[in-house]
Amino acid sequence: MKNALIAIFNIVKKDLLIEFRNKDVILSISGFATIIIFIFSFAFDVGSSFSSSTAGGILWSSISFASIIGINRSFVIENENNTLGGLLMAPISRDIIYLGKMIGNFIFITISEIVILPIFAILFNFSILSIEFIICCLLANIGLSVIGTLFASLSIKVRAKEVLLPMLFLPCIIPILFASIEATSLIFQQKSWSELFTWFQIIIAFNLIFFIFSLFISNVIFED
Amino acid sequence: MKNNHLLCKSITKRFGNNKVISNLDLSLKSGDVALLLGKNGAGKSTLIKLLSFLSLPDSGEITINDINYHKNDSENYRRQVGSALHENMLYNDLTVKENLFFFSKLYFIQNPEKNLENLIKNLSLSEYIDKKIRFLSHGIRKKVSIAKALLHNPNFIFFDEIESGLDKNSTNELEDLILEKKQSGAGILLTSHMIRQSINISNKVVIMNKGNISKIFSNVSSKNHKEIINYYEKITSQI
Repeated sequence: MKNALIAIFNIVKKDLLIEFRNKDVILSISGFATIIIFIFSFAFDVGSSFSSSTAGGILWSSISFASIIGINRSFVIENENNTLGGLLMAPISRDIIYLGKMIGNFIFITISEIVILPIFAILFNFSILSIEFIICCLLANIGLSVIGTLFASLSIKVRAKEVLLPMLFLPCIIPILFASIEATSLIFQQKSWSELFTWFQIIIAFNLIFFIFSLFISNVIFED
Repeated sequence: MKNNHLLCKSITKRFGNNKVISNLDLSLKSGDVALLLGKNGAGKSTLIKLLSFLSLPDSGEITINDINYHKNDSENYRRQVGSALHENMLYNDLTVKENLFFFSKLYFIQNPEKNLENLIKNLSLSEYIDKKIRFLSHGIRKKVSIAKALLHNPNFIFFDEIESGLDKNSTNELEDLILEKKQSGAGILLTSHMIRQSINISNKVVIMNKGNISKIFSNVSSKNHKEIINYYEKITSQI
């Protein structure tokens, strides 16, 4: 157990160090999501009566689409000199590699949101400074990174990986996306915790299902 | 002196309908330096990948000391082998030192500094230690990937044409390193296109053809070098 934690920590640390140097993943996620949010803010008449569910939809669809690019990029690094092979030859189980990459992607998406969310709040005039909203973002980020890492690791060796990742990723995140949009809408309407809790439960349930499934099949994913 | 024995029993590997390795048997013991020869497409690199656990055989067994680690406890198998293949498997945006430290941590090496210091000295990598892999030449990257393969003092070492891109001095350093590892009891399997040079450090020559072993020369010495080279040239011209 201690060895597993050491290995996960080192994989995450390595990904963060590489990202700190070239900023590929965070720049691509935050840049792409910001552009989508800008386009929608011009396309819709954003006034005081602007629908909170539309705002939630714009926010989460832009973050989801942008995450595809970022997560894909985090695996391109492992493909450059076949460093994934280096990880696979190390005496660690495949689920450790999955967990390391997944935690790295979660951190990248969360950091990207620090850039995206203030821009969204200014353009759409919604308050994002609430515990409920932070919890909603963290839960959704876990879902995006769990499912994104699963399918990115599946598609890394495939010829048309740029096409395969969104085709697998987007349909699978629909339940998490719907729940996040609904929860965000309720948060913007300043509804009570009890109303929010159902949506949080749905996100947690899907996160758990995909997390357990990913760990279960990680041995198969990384085999030749 | 270690006394380990790696054995491949009837291993087969297919890619689609193409049988790349076919019922291959091979034995490698501590202190062996086996030179694997064969034309392009003979299955040498696939065999090295199977032995490095980068790929799994479709059938057959790979055992170390009669334990089939491929069935369970594969981590223990991977702890006992080290490979340097065509691709250097290094992170371009990390320095030589960061790459080597990262992989030492994945092999759970306690205090890797001493071993790293020796490898860096033996492979003359001192001046490159703080440089990013991206900015290094092909030959230096190769040497770093050799250091990476030897970080954890593996019992079995697999090198796939690692001398390509290395200059004469580096090739000599590599040969010294191979002989040092042989002395310390590691079993080494290497593929090479520089037959006349590599045969000098080998005590066994394995010739592969169409996914199987066509001949094994044990007890290789300077006396039978010519015979082996003639046999290899003859068989490759016939293929």
